Amino acid sequence: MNTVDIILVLLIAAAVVFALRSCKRHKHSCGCCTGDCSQCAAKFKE
Amino acid sequence: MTLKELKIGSCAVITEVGGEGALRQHFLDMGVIPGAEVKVVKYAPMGDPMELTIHGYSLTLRLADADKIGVTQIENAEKAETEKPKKKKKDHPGLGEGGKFHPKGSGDPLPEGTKLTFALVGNQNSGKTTLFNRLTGSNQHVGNFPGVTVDRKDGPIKGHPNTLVTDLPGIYSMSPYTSEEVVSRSFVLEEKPKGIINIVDAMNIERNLYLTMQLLEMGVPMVVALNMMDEVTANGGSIDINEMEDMLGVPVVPISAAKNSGVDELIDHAKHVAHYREKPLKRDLCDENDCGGAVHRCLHGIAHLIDDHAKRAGLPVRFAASKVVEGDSLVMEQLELDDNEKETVEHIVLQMEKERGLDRSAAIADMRFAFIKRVCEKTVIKPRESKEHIRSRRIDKILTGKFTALPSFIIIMALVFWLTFGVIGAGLQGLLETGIDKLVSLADNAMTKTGVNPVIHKLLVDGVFAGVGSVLSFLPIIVTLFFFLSLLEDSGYIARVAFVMDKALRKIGLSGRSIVPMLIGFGCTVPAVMATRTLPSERDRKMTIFLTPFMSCTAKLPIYAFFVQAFFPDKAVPIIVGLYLLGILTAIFAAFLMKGTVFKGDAVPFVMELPNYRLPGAKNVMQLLWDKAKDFLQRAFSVILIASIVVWFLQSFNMNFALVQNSEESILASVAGIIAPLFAPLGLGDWRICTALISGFMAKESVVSTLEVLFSGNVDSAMTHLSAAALLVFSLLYTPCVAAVAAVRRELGRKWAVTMVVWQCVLAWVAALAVRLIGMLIGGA
Repeated sequence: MNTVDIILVLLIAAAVVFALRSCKRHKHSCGCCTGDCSQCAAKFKE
Repeated sequence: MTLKELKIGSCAVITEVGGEGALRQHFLDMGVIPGAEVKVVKYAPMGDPMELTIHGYSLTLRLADADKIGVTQIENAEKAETEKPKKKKKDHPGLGEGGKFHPKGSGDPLPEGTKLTFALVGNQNSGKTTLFNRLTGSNQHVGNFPGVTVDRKDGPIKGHPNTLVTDLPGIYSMSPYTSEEVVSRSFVLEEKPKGIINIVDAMNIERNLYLTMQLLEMGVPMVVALNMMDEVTANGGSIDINEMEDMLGVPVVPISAAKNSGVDELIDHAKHVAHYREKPLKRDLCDENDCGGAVHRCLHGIAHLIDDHAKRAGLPVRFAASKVVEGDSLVMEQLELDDNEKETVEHIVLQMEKERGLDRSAAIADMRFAFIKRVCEKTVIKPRESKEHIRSRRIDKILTGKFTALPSFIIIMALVFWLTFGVIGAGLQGLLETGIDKLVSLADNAMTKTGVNPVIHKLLVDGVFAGVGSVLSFLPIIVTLFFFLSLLEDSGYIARVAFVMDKALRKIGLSGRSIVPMLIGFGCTVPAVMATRTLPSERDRKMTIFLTPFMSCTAKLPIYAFFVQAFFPDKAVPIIVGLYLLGILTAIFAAFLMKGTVFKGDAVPFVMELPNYRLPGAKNVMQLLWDKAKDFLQRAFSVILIASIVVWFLQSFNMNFALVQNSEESILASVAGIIAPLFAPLGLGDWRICTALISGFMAKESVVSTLEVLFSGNVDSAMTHLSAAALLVFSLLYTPCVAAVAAVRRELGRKWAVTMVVWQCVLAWVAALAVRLIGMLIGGA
């Protein structure tokens, strides 16, 4: 594996972790898991 | 005679309100009470429901419900509002302000640092969300359709830290008739906000004050915000604010939420009453001289009787007493009255009914409207018919006219879909697709040049870019469709569509409001599922969500086009049109099935207000589009990204987690091989077809691309005409894509989402088998 490979693997891993965390973080009362929720008005909480 | 028998243009006085339970209570709460004057405006093109005006606003009712309302016809005499006799101007009562109601700095303030929480309560379509956005600086979507807010929303008042406003769904009364009313009532009773901001549509003041009266009974510090005052004054009306404030016993602030006038004053008053715990000065709104005082005596007697129970249950006594008279089972349960007390209550109420000559619910509603009448007589000079209303009547002559409504609806919807899928959306999608393809090929070349590890290279190009890219390319279509739908919604047309289509949809157990999500379903199931939020009942909402996937979405078109071209090139149009019709017929069949099993019962009564047509606000529309685009992008880069990586992994590795050259050795092939026998009866037992169908779960378009790759373009040699027909039917009916299932999960929860996937797969399998068997019988194999 060269440096580019390692950077790409790290980027993919970061994207997956971000995606998983975003689903977990956005677990709203209405059951949705993405973005600002216009259903239960839960705002994207950083 | 009954209301149903009245002809268009006739006026009548209501003599009796029949029906029972929650629906009857809802009629009464909407102002359909004995003594009220009604005028029939029109009937929907299919003859049902009807539109009438009552208390100065438009209400739609089904004929079956109108048949329960007894009326006496009267002369059609338009009462002209005359100038009220000049009277001495009342001094400003100064409620909700320091210095008058209590000396500055005194009162009963909350401890310093207490968060001031407010409930924003008002009728549907009274401008709550517009005011909420003004107060909090947020950008919640505002629509011109009753019931845009279906759940509560919170936010602090801009520039006033330590405050929190909760925008509650629009309600007509504190009776638990709809789920929104339950949400709002529970919030005020259980979460005990420090104050209530009651928004009242000044153009429809009589009906709006009905809710105000119930809120006053709750004894929570409150401010009345008279919204749309600019429209009242522009149309020659006026309201004596000082007099009204004096009569209601709470601060009354004239505002225009849309124009942001009066909002600062409203905030000051709201903060003041909440901080100093200034409860409404008047909670006893029944008049001892009103019709012999029967209702007054009844309410006071019961209030004394249940006083200790109400305090124990944490309920405002006056509110509890009215609800006990109305027979509200939830309040009765909370009060835990013993049998003697229940019996005493019943005797008191029976005596009241006898003296008043009205049943309990009607008597209470009548008492409230009698108070409102007194308030309005003293304080309100009604505006003349607004130019918005005159314009709406003119537009409605075409859009809801007997012979023009359906053609107009078809033309408008055809135009929306044509522009979305044929011109604007599709054009932008093409551009985005080209852009994404170029980016992918750039990244592909760069990775080849830099000698990136082949596994990582494949993961990025075939997994992440292909998966996320194919979904991303739908962004323009979704945004364009939402643009047109928000135009329709904000203009007020969608309420008319529900009015026009109600009769047809009721036959399959749904109400007129369900038509909107179903239509959107032809474009994409994801926004269709989201659009069900405007439906008032949970049953209708679930049923509509279960039916929308049968409306063939645009992502299935590539599948149809691919197979029709390969197997039935001479019958392309009839087969594709037939598939769309089959989807609709299956939805009708499914609706009948669900109506008799899972979703028993009738569609909610169609009692709805028809708002005036309004020009949609550019900012509001742009905000909605931005929200939808952001939501879609967030989904693409979370759920879809992960799913794409998982599918790529399953397609590229074998059971020993070694990279495979031939996808036949992959985990996906092994899994598809297990499932393949299930599809054998349909003539689709090849693992490659199963793989394509599985990949269609990610996005329907990938069925075609997967088949292309796995069959190397020779799909016609590997399948018969009959198995192609079965596959088309299976593709039409089987589980919606992961984005749609995620939307269903988001709206209804995991259990229902899984149920939908299983139910549609089973139905698709049965339908595809039927197609194959019928085909074999007539010798099509």
